[in-house]
Amino acid sequence: MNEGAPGFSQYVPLAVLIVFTIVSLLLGLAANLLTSVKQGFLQKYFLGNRSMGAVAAALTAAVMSGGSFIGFPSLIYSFGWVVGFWICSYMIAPMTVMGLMGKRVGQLARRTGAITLPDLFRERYGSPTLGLLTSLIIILFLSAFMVAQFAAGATIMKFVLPLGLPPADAVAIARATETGLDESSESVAEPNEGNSAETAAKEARAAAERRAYLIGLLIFTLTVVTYTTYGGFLAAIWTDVFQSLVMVVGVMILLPLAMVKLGGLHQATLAGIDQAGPGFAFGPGAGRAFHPITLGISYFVMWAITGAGQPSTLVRLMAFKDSRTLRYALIYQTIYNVLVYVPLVFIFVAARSILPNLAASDDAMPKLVQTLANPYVAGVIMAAPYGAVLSTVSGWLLIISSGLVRDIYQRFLRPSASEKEITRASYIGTILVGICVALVAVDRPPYLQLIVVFASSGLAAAFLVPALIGCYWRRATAPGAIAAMLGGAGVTLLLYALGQGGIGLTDRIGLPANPDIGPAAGLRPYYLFGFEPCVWGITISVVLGIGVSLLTRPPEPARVALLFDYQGPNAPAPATVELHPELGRDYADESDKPETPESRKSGES
Amino acid sequence: MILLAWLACTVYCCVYCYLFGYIRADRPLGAEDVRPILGMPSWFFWGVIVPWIVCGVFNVVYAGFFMAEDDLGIDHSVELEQDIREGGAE
Repeated sequence: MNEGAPGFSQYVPLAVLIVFTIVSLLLGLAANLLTSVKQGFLQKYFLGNRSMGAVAAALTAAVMSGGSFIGFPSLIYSFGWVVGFWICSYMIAPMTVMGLMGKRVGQLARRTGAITLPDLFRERYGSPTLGLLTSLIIILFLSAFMVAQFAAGATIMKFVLPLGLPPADAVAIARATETGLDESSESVAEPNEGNSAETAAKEARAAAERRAYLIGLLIFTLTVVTYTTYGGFLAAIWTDVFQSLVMVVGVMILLPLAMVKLGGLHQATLAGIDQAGPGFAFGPGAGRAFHPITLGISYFVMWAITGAGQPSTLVRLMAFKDSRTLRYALIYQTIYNVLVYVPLVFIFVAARSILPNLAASDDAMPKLVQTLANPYVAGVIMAAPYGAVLSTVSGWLLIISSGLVRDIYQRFLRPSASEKEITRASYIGTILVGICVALVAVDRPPYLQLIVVFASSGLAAAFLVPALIGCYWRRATAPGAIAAMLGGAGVTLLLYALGQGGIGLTDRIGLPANPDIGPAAGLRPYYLFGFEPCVWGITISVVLGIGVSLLTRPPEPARVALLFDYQGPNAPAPATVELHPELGRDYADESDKPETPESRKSGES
Repeated sequence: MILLAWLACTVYCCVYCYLFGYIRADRPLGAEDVRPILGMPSWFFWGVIVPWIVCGVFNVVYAGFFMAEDDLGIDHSVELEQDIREGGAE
């Protein structure tokens, strides 16, 4: 990475990754040893005793994943200032993501006793079908997402392992993180009709690459599955916090370095205009209509609103300690976003004049780091994406395995399972999910970053509305929630299918051609009227959720009263009332009474 | 309140940026239109940075002083677990 000491500094990324791995394993160990079982094993293992503090809640709710630390700078480098507008709904995102439903989700989760998201929906609406549907949608979207993340982790490992391959190159690592591919394997895939010795060498190299990828995958899987299985939710949270801090430190180091080197942002803007045209300084972006105003509006929905519907966010909202924690978390996240995203825009606008005309914009981040920082700092900054992959994977691993253990094994297969059996099932479930995903990732999927956008849109379109109307609308019914969930996920899938189907397909149905906006290639959706699929998914979901709820029978008064009105410390959970309806009678009547100050307070946003 | 804040941000940023920061058919822009403020193009300063600061202050003040403390209630996890067992036993 550094020309001065190539032999030594090529091991810096490896050393940093080893440190990351060790820290993660230690955090897993600590998470297991330092927490005791207070409210049952599952609650501890999957929610960390609902004791998450403000810093953890703030930093883990940040929507950064492995790709975005590379992908976002790359977009700024390519399209210029307009990308600052693309991300700027992060100004309000802490408020919408945590403030909008935070307290109510925390409250509903406690009053129902829910540990997982399917639990929460099932108990809120009193519908086992809804619970099962939630589990299935989570498993469907998150698994696709996880396979891509495992592949990215394995690819990074492959580059830094000393396996006789060319020395680790930060640029290649970064590009692999971003796309899930690396150039070497692409070039190998091309048929070579020339020199046969060259072909043989390439084949040998391909085999070596393949072996290194598999070894990388094995190491990555072992690490992440070990610490996640052992440490549970808290291990996932703590590694997430650790990685977020590394990221903010990296940005804080880069900002002054870039500014000193540059001598003025205006200079950089003019250099950008010289290289890429006036679009570098203005919308809709340099080179192509990257970000027309319809997408500008879409991304205010995308970051600020869909962020609230992610299962990982909702689970964290079920786990924070008290409302005070939530308020502080909101403040910390506001500060964190300002410290990370605004400087990133400045740094990578500056990158245009420090590193003019890069062939591949994905190289902007790693090349800039190499140019500006010494190899140790560069190693740490480049390890941040790996850390992001690790922590993202561990969080999702638990969401999937909790769904399997709680909502399928315990609820459907063996309701009478003892605590010990559940404990064993949780460990085995987490390990099995990890192994299955790793097995699928043996064939590396392409387009990591775009899979991430696709899966988050789908998940948000499915869960946001059921969660929102479940929190604040007494009249919301189970069929309404089911319709909202299926409608939202369905519309997102449909728009992606249309986008992939090409122009012929939309033509035949009589829709206008897909506007040429957003990213140029890859997993592109169909931008109906220029808007992102998430806008349409959520719109349909709102309409169906409200419409179908109004058309179906109102929910049981006892359940609604237990969840919406303050009922005193001895009130039963709704599941208890389901088993013993006589317990619910008192509460059913109370819903007719005028609201108490407490109930009103808990019902408002 | 939160949704209103979101709406205000969305409307202000999108309208301001579109009016002053977008190249449109009837409004070509060039290097001389950048009009830097602290090195940023002026549309970016007024359309992104200023609202971001205002919004940041709003978030901190709202979360710090106006958001009500609520009792989140008693955790019924154990009860639910018993209910699942009981429901399965029947």
